[in-house]
Amino acid sequence: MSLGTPARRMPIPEDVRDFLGDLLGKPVSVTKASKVDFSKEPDKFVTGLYVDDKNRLIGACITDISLAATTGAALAMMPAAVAKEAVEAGKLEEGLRDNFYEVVNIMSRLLNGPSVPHLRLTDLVDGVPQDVLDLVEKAKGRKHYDVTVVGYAGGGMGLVGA
Amino acid sequence: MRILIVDDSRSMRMILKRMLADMGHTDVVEAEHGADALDRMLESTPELALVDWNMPVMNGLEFVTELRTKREYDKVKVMMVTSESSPRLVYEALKAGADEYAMKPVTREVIEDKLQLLGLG
Ligand SMILES: [Mg+2]
Repeated sequence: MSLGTPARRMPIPEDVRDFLGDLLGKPVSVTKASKVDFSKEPDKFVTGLYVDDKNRLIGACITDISLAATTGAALAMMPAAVAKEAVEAGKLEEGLRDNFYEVVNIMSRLLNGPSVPHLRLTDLVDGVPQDVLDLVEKAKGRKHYDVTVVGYAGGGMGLVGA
Repeated sequence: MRILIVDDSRSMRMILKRMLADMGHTDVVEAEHGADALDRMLESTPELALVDWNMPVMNGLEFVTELRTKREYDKVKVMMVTSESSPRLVYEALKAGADEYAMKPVTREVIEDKLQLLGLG
């Protein structure tokens, strides 16, 4: 059964791979992952909130802490051990968080395109807020990825776009 | 050549700074947003500004618009370096007075090409 084609073109793993590879300046591998139920253990995730020009939530980038820490560290060429510490602590310290914010900010480009509402990053929050969980359920576009950054670790990411 | 980097992301400023240093440009000034950039420019006028779009206080488009009202900065070249990629926004930035537009993630090759186009290569 199909509910119709997604209004927003969601990036394929190769798009995400090339994009993160350019951004981080390191080889990245990305594969399609099966759906994740973010409501089960929301504390394990960090969520970037994307809004439209009227500040309505229309998209999200949900990653586990491991991927957030990995890309945050890789972006600033911090050692992999810094990311590992964050994973063990279960949270991102300020530097990693700033870096990861920019990763998610730039990632908005993957979701924008002609003839769909423009979205931009407005906030990065711990966990997965209820309005994002609601959006995940009803959004037309939703994809999950497993990402590994060479020399670092990796993790899971979900992109959602209304 | 003095280059001003205007970006609210510390990591992005660092990346751009490192890229420019690799290209031999070490006279670099950093600003966190448009208003900060205008302050810095009172101290020294750059030849080129690399400008992010989404920033607090004064965003990149507001900065370029403001900059182009000031005759003393006529010669400052502005290159937007941003995740905003829609043709409408590129058009808006160029109309406001930006000279070039590069999309994040930006590579060294792209910056080099754009500097050539601006006659600064
Ligand atoms: Mg920014």
